[in-house]
Amino acid sequence: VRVGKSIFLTVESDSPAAAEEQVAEMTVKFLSNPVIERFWVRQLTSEESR
Amino acid sequence: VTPRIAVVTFPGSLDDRDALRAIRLLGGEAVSVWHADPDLRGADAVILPGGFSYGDYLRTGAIARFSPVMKSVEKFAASGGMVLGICNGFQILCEAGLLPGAMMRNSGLRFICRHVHIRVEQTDTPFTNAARKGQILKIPIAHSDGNWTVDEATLAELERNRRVIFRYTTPDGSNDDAGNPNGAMHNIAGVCNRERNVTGLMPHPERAAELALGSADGLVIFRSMVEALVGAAKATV
Repeated sequence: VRVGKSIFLTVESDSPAAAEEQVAEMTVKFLSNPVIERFWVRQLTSEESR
Repeated sequence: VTPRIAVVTFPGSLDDRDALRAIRLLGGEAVSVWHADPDLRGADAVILPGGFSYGDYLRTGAIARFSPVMKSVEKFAASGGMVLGICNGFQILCEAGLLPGAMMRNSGLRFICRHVHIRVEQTDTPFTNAARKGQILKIPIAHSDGNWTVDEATLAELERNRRVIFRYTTPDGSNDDAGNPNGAMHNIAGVCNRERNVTGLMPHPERAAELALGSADGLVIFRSMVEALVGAAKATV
């Protein structure tokens, strides 16, 4: 059994790459615990984010 | 010499008052510290109590570790100050990186609130120096996330350097696996840092501080702290 969580964030940024970097940093520092969790960051398309 | 021990209250802490009371029962001066205030009020030791800080949102202890007081606690620990984390306090110390490991949901996926038995594995810490090595303590647990886990290399290092301070066991100490309530690795109930001045444990010694509560076994942990601080103060006179 795998248990996980999806966290949806809206961030203001200059570019998609900068946004992804910002979210990855948040994930490393706060949103995930590397001892027990792994994470993936993906940008949603405007269609998906509706 | 009256040691001054601070107990931090986070939003959602439950056992801060019980910890303050346990210290006072042993003649210590107990002072309350609000999590948003980085001032440790001149404390000789700090306790992070149990509870559900920030409602356990995201992960247990994950938000509390960013409270303003935690910078002071980290600095205090780095300078050799005595820090004890109980249950949620242990979870916060793990999240803050002051202790190794992380907490997963209990293996049975249920909240457990009952007495358990733990064995004092090491007595050369300021949290166990008044106990006997191998002493069995009857102390309650109350948690959903006490399944302590860590990578194999760190686990081996902890065992090799006698950093496992408390281990779950049965009342007679004969079967550790059977006494493990939550699936924690190696039946570990509490560990310390490399310098041995920071310890965390999942059971609640402050809830076992007088016989009316069903056990007074938890007092030995607070007594150890008080005696260690009194001894240290006398040594400097």
